[in-house]
Amino acid sequence: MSDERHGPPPAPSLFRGINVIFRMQIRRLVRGRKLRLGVISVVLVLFAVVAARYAGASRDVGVDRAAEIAAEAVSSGLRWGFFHLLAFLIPFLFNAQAIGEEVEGRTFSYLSTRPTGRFAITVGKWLAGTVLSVGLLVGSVLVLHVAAYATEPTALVEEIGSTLRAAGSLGLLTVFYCTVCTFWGAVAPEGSGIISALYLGVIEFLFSFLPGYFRCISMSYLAQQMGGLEKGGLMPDSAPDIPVEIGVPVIALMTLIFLGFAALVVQVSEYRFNRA
Amino acid sequence: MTEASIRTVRLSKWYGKVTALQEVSLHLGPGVWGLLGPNGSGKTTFLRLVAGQLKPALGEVQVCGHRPFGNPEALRRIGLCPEADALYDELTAVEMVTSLAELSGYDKGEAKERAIEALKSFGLEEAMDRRIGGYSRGMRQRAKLAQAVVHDPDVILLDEPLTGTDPVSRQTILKEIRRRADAGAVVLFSTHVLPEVEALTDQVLLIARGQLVAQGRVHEIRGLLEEHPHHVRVECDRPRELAAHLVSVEGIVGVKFAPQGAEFMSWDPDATYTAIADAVVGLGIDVWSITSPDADLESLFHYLVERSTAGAGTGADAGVGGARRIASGQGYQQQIQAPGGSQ
Amino acid sequence: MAKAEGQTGGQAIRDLGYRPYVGERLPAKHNSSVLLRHGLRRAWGSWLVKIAAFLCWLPPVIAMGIVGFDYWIRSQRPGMTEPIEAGVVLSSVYWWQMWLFVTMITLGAGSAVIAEDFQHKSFQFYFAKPVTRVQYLAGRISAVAIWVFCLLAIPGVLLVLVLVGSAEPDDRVANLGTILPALIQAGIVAVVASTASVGVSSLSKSRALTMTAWMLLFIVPHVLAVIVEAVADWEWLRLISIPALLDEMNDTLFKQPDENDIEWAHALPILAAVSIGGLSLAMSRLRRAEAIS
Repeated sequence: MSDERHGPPPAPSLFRGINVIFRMQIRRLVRGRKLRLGVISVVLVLFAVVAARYAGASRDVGVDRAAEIAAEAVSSGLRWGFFHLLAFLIPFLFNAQAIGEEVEGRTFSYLSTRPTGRFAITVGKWLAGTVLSVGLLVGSVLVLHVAAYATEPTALVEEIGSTLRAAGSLGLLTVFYCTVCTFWGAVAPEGSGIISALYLGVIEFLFSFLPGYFRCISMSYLAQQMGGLEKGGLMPDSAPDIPVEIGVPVIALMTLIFLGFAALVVQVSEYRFNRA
Repeated sequence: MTEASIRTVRLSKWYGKVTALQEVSLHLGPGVWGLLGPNGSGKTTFLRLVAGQLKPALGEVQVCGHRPFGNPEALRRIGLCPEADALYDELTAVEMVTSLAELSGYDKGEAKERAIEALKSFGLEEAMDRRIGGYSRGMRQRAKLAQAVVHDPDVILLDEPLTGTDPVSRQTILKEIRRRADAGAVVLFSTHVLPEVEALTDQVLLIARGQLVAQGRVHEIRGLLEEHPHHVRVECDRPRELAAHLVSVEGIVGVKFAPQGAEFMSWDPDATYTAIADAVVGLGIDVWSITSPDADLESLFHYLVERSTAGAGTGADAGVGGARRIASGQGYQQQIQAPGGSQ
Repeated sequence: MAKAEGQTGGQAIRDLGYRPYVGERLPAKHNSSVLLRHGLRRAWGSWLVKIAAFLCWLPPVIAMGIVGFDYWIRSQRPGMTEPIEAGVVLSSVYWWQMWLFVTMITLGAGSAVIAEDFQHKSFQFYFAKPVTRVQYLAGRISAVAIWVFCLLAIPGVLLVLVLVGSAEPDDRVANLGTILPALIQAGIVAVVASTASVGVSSLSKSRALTMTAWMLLFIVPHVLAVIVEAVADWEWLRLISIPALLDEMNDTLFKQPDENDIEWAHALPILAAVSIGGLSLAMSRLRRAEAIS
């Protein structure tokens, strides 16, 4: 290095900051074990559904029945595998610790002493987990569709619309869950995993089975409705139908609220640095 | 652009009922400053306040004229090497330092160039493309230092920067710190290993029990410790003869003998040195060394910490200004002015 | 100038040197109980365990309320309703306890316990002393097992007593007899959940990762089994699900009708294998762990 000192450069723009944090987080996720765990879970679900679908159709059934079995497989796979398992698991894996691990691992000071701004830290990390989660889940739904209908080309084409609809609502739900996990990670870095799991397990999972309007508290129910899944749980007929025009803005608004609060918390928090 | 500086006014921080830092006021200009203090004295809290990781409970901290917490204008001029042995183990050193340089405002290409340059300057050119997870403690420390200086900051804050480094790396690091201070940066580094400070600077801040006990040059601070007589140790062949000659000298108040020398306690060190010189010449004594054992940091540190501990805790004697109670305890406060700094 | 009585220049010498311990030393066999006590306290330090310890009373209290209400109806209008079968109540309560609170306790106290010791480099505090790997592991697992057992057995036994009190005179002895299955089931769940979760906790030094892995191990196979059963009407995938296997034991012990072909004889060996697997995994990781790193 030359002896001449040029001084520090001007602070980067918000977009640049988000971009750098995003790339850094993606790189860390890709090299870490969480992505592997997530991919293994997705592959297991896909394998189980597809194997069950072809095992169910192995008997001599007609073309119509085979298409029905494929539709049942996709429907059950979406309901249990994606909406009731992976939609919780993947955002949890990629986002719950995004901020918490920086604070617990004491690497947060490297980011917070840069002029990028803490808003960029929050958004960049949230975005990285969200992009990976949505990509993995929506991509897997499409793979499931193709694999389940592989032997029924007519149904493959006819049913793509409903699968895309389910994939879209799953994607939206995933964005929301990523935001919720990021929020809890920002609020309680040391207990982010447990609190996120409790929130998702109780508010999102259990409430989606309650009768009547109670289940509207769960965004999972809203997304399932928008995705065209049948109502389940306790007294399903008492639960209201949720049209897309209501479901999408509600989930989007909730996402923005959680993201805003997450950014606010990161912005003002001293985190664990408040130790002598 | 405002000059590189750290300024605090009555800066205080407490965690619940624990006071970590109490009414610290100072102004540091370019140069290397050693931040000394025992464990738990508030050094790290002070650094974190300056680095903008903590908000002051009371008072104010300014870095280059700006409050640091959440302020990009101040943060872009700060480089922090934290104490914790924490790095992004999944990344290589180049990737980590490049990303952090980008976050400081450089574009991708320049950030990478600067990262490589910074890592090389700390002797990591061989290992920079390996993942940090496989680094030794010393290498991790150097990677932390590289990220702290990659953006050429005006204020460099180093928390125990030499931990885990071998003697060769230590020299590299000290040289790099000196070079940056000579170029106009404020380098504040905390440690409780006194030889580390002595190797780098004689400008120190001493914190004990959350209070700034002293600020200035070691020997100047020592000069103010008037209630402690100065010690002058003479290693020679006839110490008792020398002592007998010196007992009548004004200011010498005591003498202790060692196997090959004598240690004189004096209120007037200048007169004592003159008298020793005269006696040595007059009596023909063979002298091997004349040293002042209390002019080093170790003894200074102990004097000041002991003094602080003896009367601290109430905060009643906490005044505005840095160096409290370095003189006698009769309301006399004096501050040593450091070159480049002002009070 | 040193003086004979330990004075130097008028200043007393403070002896800070080593003094051998002269009290009684307990034999090394006490290490397990010390580790157990330490483990119990450490588990209680987790707020998740505290929450579980309080909330775990909810299902039994609700069940007691239902049993009491049923008793009141029968006392008011004899013959209007049939007495509630003790096995139904107990198996339902245990099912809820397992899904809600056993998961919480194993998550808070089991699935991170060895990972934390890896992370904080705590092995030097154990293995540099005369503590063997077996003692360490026994202490860790037994602490979790005791918490799980108490969480299931104490409310379970109280519920049995309520069932005995509210039963028809002819059914009282039969209801009292459900104490044994209640204790056995609590024991099985405690052993399996503690060994498996502590085993998983040895997989990594990352607490977050081991906790997530434990949740995955607990939930993912179960969901897969449910999907396959729903799509292909094939129930044998339940054999890879720990909760389904425990539920199978639950049904068997409380004599509940089974809706599938899986029997306790299928479930028990697999549960035993899970426990042994958890123990072996933890043991092999501990053997490889360096005491001072």
